[in-house]
Amino acid sequence: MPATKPISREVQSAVADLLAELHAKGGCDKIGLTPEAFAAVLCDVAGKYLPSGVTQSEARAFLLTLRVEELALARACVLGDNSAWEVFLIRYREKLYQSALRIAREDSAARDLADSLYAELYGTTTRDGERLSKLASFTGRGSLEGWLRTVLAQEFVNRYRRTRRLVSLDEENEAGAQLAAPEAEPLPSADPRLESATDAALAALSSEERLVLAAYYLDGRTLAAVARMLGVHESTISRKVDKLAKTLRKKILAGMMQQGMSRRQAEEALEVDVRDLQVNIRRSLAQESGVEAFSEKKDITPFAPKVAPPAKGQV
Amino acid sequence: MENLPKIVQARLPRKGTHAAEMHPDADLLTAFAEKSISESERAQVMEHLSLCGDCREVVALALPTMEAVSVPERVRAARPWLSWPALRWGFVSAGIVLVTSVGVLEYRQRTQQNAAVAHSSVEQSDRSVAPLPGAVTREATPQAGEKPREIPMRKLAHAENAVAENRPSASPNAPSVGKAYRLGVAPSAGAADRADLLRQNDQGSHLATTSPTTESPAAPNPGTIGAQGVVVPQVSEMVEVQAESAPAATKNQRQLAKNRPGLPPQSGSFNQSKATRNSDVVRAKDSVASQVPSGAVATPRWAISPAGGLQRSFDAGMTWEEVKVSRAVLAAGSLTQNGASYKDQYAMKLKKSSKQEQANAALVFRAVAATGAEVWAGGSDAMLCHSLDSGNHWTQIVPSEENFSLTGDIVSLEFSDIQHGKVVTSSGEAWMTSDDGQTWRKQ
Repeated sequence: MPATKPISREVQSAVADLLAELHAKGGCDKIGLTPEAFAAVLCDVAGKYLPSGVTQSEARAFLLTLRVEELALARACVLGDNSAWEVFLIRYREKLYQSALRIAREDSAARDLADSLYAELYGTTTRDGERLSKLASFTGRGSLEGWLRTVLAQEFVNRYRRTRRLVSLDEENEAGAQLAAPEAEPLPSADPRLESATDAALAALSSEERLVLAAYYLDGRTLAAVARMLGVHESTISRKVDKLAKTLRKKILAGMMQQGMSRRQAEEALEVDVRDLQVNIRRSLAQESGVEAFSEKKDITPFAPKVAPPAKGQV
Repeated sequence: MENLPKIVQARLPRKGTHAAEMHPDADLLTAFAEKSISESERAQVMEHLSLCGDCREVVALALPTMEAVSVPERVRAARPWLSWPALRWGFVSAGIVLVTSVGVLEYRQRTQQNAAVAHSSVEQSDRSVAPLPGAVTREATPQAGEKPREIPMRKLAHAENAVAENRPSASPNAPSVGKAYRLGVAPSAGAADRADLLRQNDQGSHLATTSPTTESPAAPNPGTIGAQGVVVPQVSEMVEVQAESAPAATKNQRQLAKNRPGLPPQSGSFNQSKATRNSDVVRAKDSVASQVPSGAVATPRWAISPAGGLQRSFDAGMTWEEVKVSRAVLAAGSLTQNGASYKDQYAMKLKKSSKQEQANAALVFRAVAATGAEVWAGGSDAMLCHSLDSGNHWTQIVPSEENFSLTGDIVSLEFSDIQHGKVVTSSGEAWMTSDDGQTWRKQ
């Protein structure tokens, strides 16, 4: 992973300052990582994440948050150190398969997923006679185990989307034939005043609140799952969702009334609109992502499509 | 849950369309999930996640295994119930624990009594007739006659153990002889015990009343003994045990008569003051013995306390009791074993009594090994102790071979069976025995 920007002097001095400590902390000697090589790794990581105008103390603080031991292990593996690979396999091999199984939920798919990641980790692709390992992109920001899970999940999502697209062509044809009649072209959407009021209300929310709404209502996750994503207690999320729903309703109504609608009109607009929107949302979701197809809880969002058949024009 | 206005749900995902250009890398997502990320970065990732369904999916999938995720529905439904089964099971298990502990306590109390009775009779049969250190004076007798009624059952049994222990052993005899020996001439170890013994035998056979006639004329002090034979028509629990051997007692008394001539004629020399002091010793012994609940019933587990004390447990480790092994106890034990005369032993005790506190300081043990009722314990200063009866009585053993003997602190003890054992010391010596500690060889 080539560093894209030149390493600033502050970062370099911070690295030089902490090198001995971090080198010892990372147990680099045992896995054959020299201080020079490790310094290069640290500069690489710092250069990737730190903005250019960073002070030395900030760089220092950043370096101290890194998981140096796991970073050192990963980079030693990249360099092809055998003892490092041994440690890596002992620690993570089993976990990797377990995580893959949990993500893919099916044995053969899990094995496939884990094996392909293994290949990438080991670096089978050669470029200029050099082995490129995916581990080189690990930067020690989080745990190596968590990183492996994330990489697995990314791979899984990518794959799933690919296969889903392939499969869905057939399914769509069938489904399209059957559902052709009821599936009318979407009507021009709701009252523009309603839309603008909604957008304004949503824009006023913090990103975390929007994340909660999206994860709960769009992805159909459970409160517990959302809570774990954000690392808070389930009840906190529950309260938050409740409160958000109330305030959004209030705000949208207020927004519409500001634009000259009566209260009754505004309330009607909020209720009546739904059926039209359902079609709208289907279209946008089908374009957007495969998220809905993953989730088991589509019932929570009654208008979320099960097979997500898009409008015919798309096929 | 408040229903979110549908329009909101409709407007939310549209924002996602433009967000897919630059996904945060796996490192950042991991750091986000693990909360090891700076505030500004967290805000960025959060913003992206609020827009990007794929990355939300990735973060959710990559969460470490705990509950939820794979079976979210059930967890959600189960939540409110989680606390109740736990409470219910808690109550049930608390009840079980309560009942069991009461049961165990009750059982232990009962076994303790039984064991004491059984133990004392075993002691009696094991002990042999020994040279009598002293006969009993008349002064002691009235006391003896009165005391037993005040002494509780358990204490009697223990006291008897102690008496038996105090008596040096020399020539092994038939078990019943040992008993007869007690019947007629109790050692001067404790007036109370003597009277007790007599009383038991009275109840068993009513022979003691006629003891003067059954005593051999060669007995040095038949009158004294006869005076002891006070009839105590009081029924105690000991009768059951004693009654079995009662018929034998008649025979044995005759045997005793034969044995008597060999006894040293110490009769008058032992006076009341000695007897009293001796009974102090008995009481001291008694306190040791009373820590022993049921040697005959179960083989205990052994452990070393952090302070270096010996501990044993009769209930598979639920409760541990300290077993005090002091130099005083050891000295007594080893002398008895070595066959030193009672007098010597007594003199030793008197001498030691000045240094009693020092000697009573418990030894520091480092290792313990047990095979059935046999226990080996080793500690600092080459202290190696051996007990044949689950720690009720201890003997100090000094492994030696020709010119060498074991030195240093004992750090490890292994006994693969009763016969074969190995002792390792801090000085690196290893001593082996293959005959239950009779002989040792150094490696």
